[in-house]
Amino acid sequence: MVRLAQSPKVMQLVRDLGLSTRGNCLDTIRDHAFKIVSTIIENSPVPVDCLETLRRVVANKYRARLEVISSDEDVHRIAEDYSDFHPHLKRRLSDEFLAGATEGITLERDPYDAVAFRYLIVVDARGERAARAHFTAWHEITHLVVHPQQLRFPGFRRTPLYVDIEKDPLESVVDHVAGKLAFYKPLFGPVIQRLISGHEGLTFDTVEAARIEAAPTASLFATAVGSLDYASRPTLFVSVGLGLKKGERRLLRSPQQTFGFARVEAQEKLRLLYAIPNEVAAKSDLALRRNMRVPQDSVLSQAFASAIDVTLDANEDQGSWETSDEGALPPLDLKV
Amino acid sequence: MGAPLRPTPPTLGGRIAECRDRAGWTQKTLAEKAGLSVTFISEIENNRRTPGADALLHLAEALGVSLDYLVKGIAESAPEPRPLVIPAALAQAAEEHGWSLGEVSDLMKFRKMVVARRTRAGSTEASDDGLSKDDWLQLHSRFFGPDANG
Repeated sequence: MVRLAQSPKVMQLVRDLGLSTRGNCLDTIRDHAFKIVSTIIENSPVPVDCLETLRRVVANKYRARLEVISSDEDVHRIAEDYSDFHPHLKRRLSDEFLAGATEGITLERDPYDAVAFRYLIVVDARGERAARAHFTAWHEITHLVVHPQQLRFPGFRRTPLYVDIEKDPLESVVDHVAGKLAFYKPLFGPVIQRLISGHEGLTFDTVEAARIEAAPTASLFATAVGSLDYASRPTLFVSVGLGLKKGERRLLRSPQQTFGFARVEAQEKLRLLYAIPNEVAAKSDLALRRNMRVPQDSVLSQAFASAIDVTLDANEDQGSWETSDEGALPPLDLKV
Repeated sequence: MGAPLRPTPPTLGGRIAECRDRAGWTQKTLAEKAGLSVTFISEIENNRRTPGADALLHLAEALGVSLDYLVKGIAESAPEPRPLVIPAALAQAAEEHGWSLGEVSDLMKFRKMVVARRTRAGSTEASDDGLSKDDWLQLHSRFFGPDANG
């Protein structure tokens, strides 16, 4: 996160917003977005008492309309329903959602209309993407919140076409801010805090109860991430799956590999696909991080290997985790 | 919604009726889209009743207009017109292949309609300036070639 905050693109965005680059730029952008959203809530003719209303009110403020794709048929329906939105809408939707791999997109009306909604946000919720749809919608709305109007074209999309790239830092910033807005503290905080104090801290049961009560359209995954900062002890939300080492991935993408000069026999191992710390964890000795290999004797390995859905827990030692560069991590009691 | 602008009606009911009219909808259509009764819509439009917060949000969403417009009559002023700057690679491709200005304008409109995009790997689309002549040729072929869709 520190590296992201120091990215030249992120610093430029802070300058474009007319803010100071002196502090942590990521925090500056997030605080700026919160200030905007809080002003929208204060001035809204509709009382904002839940996260769903917040999303609708913020989208409406930016004159954005949200459509969700649940089946291929919806792509055609949206193209028809909004045929006066843009002369190329049908082709664009088809390119993005039938031929492409887009999860969410924000389109601008052409020709401009002073009264009708200006932006059409389309979110893919087909199949496994349904779990991310709530977050994707917030991601698109956040673009409108954090990008000054004059920058919406095309300043923040300057990444090479058709190249396997690292994620654009501005997209990461938008992800970070969207994650916070999707679980806007003044609305989500009281719910999750009440549930945490009534149970044994932050558990998946607590997260699910908070999701049902405060953010029914969000996934368990997104709600878990949104709940992390309410845990008083250092907490890491992890997701495991089969994956390659960073170096192996790089080699597999290299032109040498493509042209057959070097063949890499890489085998996927069980790794941390996500390792998201809360604020307290970032300052603690908890050192697990993304892409680390999961020890075979961890309950994470057992749960992954299980043929049925299981809920397991165990007390483990961080010292059983290793990195290829630094060896074993420092010992630390972990509740997994 | 593309009809020429008339003066903004002074009341909430008037603005709702105006937006419905521009959409070419009957009160029944609006009632269905907003999940409200026809009688309620009629009373709102005639300023005999004021919609509550929830109904107001449903009406704004159904009509595709902002709450600012419905409640306060505030319409957003049009953005500054942006000059059409044709990227060098596109200009070169157009000249070499004899594309019309209309075709060039279509390609640019198609590109510029995207404000933001989320994919699994993050946003991966280049700005117009970042496209090569081949990129524009490919796009033109998809747009105007024999297999063009849409």
